[in-house]
Amino acid sequence: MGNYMSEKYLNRIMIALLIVLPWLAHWLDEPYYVSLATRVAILALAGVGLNLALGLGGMISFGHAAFFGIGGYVTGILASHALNYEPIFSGFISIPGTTQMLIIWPLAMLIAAIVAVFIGLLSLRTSGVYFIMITLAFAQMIYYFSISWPAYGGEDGLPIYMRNGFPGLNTLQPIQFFMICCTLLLIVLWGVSRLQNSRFGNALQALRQNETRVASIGINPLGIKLTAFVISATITALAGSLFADLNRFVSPTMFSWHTSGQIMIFVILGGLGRLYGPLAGASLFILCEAVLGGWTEYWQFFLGLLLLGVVLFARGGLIGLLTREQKNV
Amino acid sequence: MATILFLEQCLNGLQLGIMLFLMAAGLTLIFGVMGLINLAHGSLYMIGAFACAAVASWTGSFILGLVASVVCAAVAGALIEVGVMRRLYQRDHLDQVLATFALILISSEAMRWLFGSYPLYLDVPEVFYGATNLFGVLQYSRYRLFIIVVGLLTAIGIYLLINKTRIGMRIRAGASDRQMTAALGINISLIFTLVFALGAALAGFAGALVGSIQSVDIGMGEPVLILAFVVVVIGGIGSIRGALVGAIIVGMVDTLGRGYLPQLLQLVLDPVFANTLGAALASIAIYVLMIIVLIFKPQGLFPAHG
Amino acid sequence: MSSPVIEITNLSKSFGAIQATQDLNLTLNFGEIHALIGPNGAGKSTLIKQITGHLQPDQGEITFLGQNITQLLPANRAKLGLAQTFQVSSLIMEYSCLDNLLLVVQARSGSSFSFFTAVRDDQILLAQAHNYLQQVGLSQRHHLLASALSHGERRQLEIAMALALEPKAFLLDEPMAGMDPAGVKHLIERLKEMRLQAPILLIEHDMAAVFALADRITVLDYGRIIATGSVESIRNNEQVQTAYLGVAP
Repeated sequence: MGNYMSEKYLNRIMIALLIVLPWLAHWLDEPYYVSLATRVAILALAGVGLNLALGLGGMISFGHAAFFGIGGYVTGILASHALNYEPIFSGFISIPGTTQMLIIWPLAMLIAAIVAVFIGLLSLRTSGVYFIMITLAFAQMIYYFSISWPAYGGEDGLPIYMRNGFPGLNTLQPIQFFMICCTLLLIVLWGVSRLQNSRFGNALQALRQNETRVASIGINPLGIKLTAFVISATITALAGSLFADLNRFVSPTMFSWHTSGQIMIFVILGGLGRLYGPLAGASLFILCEAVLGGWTEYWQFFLGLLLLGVVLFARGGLIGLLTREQKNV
Repeated sequence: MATILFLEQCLNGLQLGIMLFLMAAGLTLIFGVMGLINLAHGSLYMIGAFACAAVASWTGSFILGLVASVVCAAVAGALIEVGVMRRLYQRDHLDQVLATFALILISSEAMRWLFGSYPLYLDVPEVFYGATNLFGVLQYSRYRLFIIVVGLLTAIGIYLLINKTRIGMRIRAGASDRQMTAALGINISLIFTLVFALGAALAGFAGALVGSIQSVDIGMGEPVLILAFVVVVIGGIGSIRGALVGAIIVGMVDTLGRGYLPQLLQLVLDPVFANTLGAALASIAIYVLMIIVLIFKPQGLFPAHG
Repeated sequence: MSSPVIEITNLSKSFGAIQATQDLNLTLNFGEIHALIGPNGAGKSTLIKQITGHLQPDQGEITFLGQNITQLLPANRAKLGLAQTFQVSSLIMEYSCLDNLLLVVQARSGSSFSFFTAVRDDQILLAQAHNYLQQVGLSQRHHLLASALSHGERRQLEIAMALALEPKAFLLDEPMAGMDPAGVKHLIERLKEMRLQAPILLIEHDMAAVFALADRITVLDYGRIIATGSVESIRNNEQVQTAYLGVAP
């Protein structure tokens, strides 16, 4: 191992920095940096979701923007109904909107899960390039629908006038909202680390390597893959919900294939299949955006070069580069 | 009157289909021969359009612009193949997706840096202004007609090239069995570069042709790229014939869907709601089509391998 | 006489113009080793794939322990007790030997839908996995990745994985392929033990091994059975000698 640190050690440093730096910024009265850190936490969360399907399960979903966007739109729609005092559904019973994060999150995740079951059942029939393309097509379908369906803003998107609330906290204060996002990220990371080593995770990672073999010992691939796909979608939807609250705005861009590509970039820049890879990747992405973006408006040119370099020459991603550790399966 | 409108919509659908074929032919060849999934194909379309706009405004000749679009896109394609793609043939699809996604970022930003963020407009020669009379009943845009004819000729040309020439035979051999082709002493890496440049030239040509109908701007390649992917998946990845059939189907469904779905829904629904729903459904019609095709034929309409 | 463990009736499968399986009838009985031989392309692997469920037959029926399994998914057939080894070693390559076996033991002993408890902390599963590794002599290599094993060791691991399923029937697709004579000898002894546990449908090219092990032999050519019977009757069958052993009558 030589002078390189272990992956575990690096992960702890990343978490420590993620918690300490925003507080530092808060004390220095620099809310901009707190919101940057909040973005890192949210985007990392979206990446952790995708990493479950992509890194552990080998399902190259190019349509996770669908779930990110669903999380966002559920949040925006519920909030806008609540703020306008219009029920979402009125008939024999009337369902009002809500501005409570604790109600919004489970709903966002539930709806994403339902959509993911549907998309997963259809797309997991295919594999390889067809899987990539069909997940992309589903996301595009929702994207174009969100543009051309005018009820919730269509192309212009939907503003959320007030950030949704959380009992006992003032979510309008950047550091408090950050702590919500960061805590959720940590909980999900903990959950996924448990899942990775569980029976389910064991079967899922084996499936990525040899589906025929796994089927031949009596584990049905479709059930495992579909479950992983759905869990992955709900995590990404949770991130989408937080993202909507961070920006207090949702728009069809959340569904666009650039968003799918970006979530994938977080996973890859950090290191595919590594638990903390998306955190490293999202940090690097936001850092690039903040530093390069301040220096040139063409910063995505350099992001492209960086991504190309990682794919061609550093397949372990940032974490692989720093630790020189092979991915531990 | 309704028939005339329908005819016009059909021609528009055909025109879109043929443009999509020019894009999809390259994509499907590159996948079939090299096993490479190339997201950056839309960038080559954009490069073609920009080259055409720049050269046409510089020389005043649209034809020179078209030539420039083909040459620039082919050269860019060859450079990309030699510089990047070669390292990706043995990699999995994920690496290919990411690397070509990176190429999109790089080329889009490079074009924005070269040409600025504002769209360019391409003017077509005066011969193509206005409409021409078709079948004695229909006034149809001369330029769109020109696109249809040129596109059809190109499609026939590709078909002949792939199926009737020596180089085409080698390309087909490469698509069906890479190792065998290499074993026969055919210079496989030269074939790969050629196929890539050919696909790029077609994409660039399509970009230049369409650039005169729409504007020439940075993101122009991306919607077309995704449509072309839908075409390739519907037709069967790796199949030229599938790409042609898929392109025409997608072009028709998209155009006719946008033209007629709202009206059809008005027959059963409240007009305002029917319009909204119809427009929304029309925008996703081809994706629904693709999903239906994949449910019944998971390898597309014309499976290329086995 | 009890009913057969595996019973195949009128099975047919074609790929375009090629008839890979033609109206085939075959049984595997309790306690026996039934060897399936035939030249390359005779349709042996196609048959195995139809039995395991990786290929769907055009016609015919496969029953396993009296249950019609023709429409079942591969995983469900395995759960019923059908274990296979593959012609080309098929392992979870980035998993250690122990993890490969843990996966099998996990699959056999309950659901894979458990999300929080670490599999490697389950002492019962670990003990079972170690036990099967020991049976094939891979205990010392338990921590090695499957990709780091030698060819012979991979075949051993495959056998251990089949054993760990505690199956009701073994389908072994050329288990001796690529093994040195000592390995073959060792494996013959192992198969003699395995038959005590469950009957074996054995596809094998090594004729010495087949003659040493089999109770019955079925010869396949062009997707049809051209002969079936005891070792002696097959050895002396002229049709078999022409088609397979390449001896002019």
